[in-house]
Amino acid sequence: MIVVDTSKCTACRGCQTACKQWNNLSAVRTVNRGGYENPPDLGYNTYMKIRFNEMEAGGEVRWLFGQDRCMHCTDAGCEKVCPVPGAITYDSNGAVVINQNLCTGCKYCVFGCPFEIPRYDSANKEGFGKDKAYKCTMCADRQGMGMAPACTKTCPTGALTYSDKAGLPAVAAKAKKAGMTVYDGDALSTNVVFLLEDNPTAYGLPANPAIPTPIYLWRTVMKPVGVAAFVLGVLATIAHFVTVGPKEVEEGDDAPSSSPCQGGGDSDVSSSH
Amino acid sequence: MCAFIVLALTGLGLYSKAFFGLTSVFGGVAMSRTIHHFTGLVFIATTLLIFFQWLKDYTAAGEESLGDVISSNMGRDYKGPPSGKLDAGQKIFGYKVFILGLIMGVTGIAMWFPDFLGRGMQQWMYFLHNFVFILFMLLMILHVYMGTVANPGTWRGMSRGTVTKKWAKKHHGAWDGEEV
Repeated sequence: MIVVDTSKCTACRGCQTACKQWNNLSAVRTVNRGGYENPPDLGYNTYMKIRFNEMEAGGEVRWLFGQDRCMHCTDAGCEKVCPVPGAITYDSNGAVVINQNLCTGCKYCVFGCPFEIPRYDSANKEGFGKDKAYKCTMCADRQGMGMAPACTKTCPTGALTYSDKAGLPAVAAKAKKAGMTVYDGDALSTNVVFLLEDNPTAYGLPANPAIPTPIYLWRTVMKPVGVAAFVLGVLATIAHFVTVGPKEVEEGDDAPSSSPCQGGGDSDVSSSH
Repeated sequence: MCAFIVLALTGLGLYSKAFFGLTSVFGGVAMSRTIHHFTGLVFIATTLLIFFQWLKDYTAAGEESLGDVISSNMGRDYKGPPSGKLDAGQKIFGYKVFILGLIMGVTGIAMWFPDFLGRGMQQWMYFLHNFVFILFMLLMILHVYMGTVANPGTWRGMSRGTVTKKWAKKHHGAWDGEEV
């Protein structure tokens, strides 16, 4: 688990830089928008960024430093909606990883994430890399070699730390005593845990994060409903067939009538008008 | 109809990891997606075409009561007024296909180009596409049953384009189709 202690963050953005360095991500050409926050948004080549939240409270200016990054949920919206088996997986360290080899560029994950994190690249990466979704991997490759994620290794103040999730209750207790709130996505049980000094919305985080309702209905509810509907439909037709049975056209139906289409025998009628 | 089958098979392969094997039939995930998108456009066009081509028959005033409709669809002894080219059940089916088909088309296009709606609305598009497909699937089970096993002599109307006089007399007494 990665613990983000916002009370210790100085917004040096060493984490942002280390992430780019480790993952070989290019810089983003940008303009000065009047503050230190840069780039303006996450992207296919920006997996994490520091967010500078300025606000006025009680006549004072407050400057809260937050992070926009993948929360590595235990019950991840992106994994739920991905149509390709193996393209988004959970690894043993709790990381949720997109495998660009298998990604088909459908963008379901972009819309399935409660935190709005995955970003799609249409054309910027060369050749194979384009038309895929990208996000933080929690340095799954580093973790696999027994190393800490790049951002946690580089943080100079200890705002970002890497530890076992089993230690969360102790971390939470200590944070609460210091007057901070613990933010771990409620039912999503994220493997990135924020310790906040204010409401989540002040940091740009959703207040009540959850799998979005239509996504939940789509991916969790509709599957058994669909199977049940199919089975019941087939059973109903079989039941009808063995009880009421087919509507046969019988010999006695060829009775004389005043229809203009009269004629002996069983000639054909077509439907071209 | 062919567009519908292709769409259903490619769609199933894309929707459910359990059916993912279907994508191999069409040449992989990316190809399944491409086939699904363009066949979807064909489906929208043909749904519109067929509905407006037969609009006169779909809107022909029928005198059937609700009881007649139910007995004609589910029972064997139909005692209501004779049907024209389309009986009551077919007209209802036609409206359903038109409306549900258009919803599938609109939600499908939204899924193909997801960046134009608000996030919340876009999320509902995914759900609707799925839910309406389930309704469609139920309709198709019923439609295939009624068009083949339940009403012998009907399938050839689609495969050959003609039906026997006896069949026409029994099922569509008030129809003035041409004799072939």
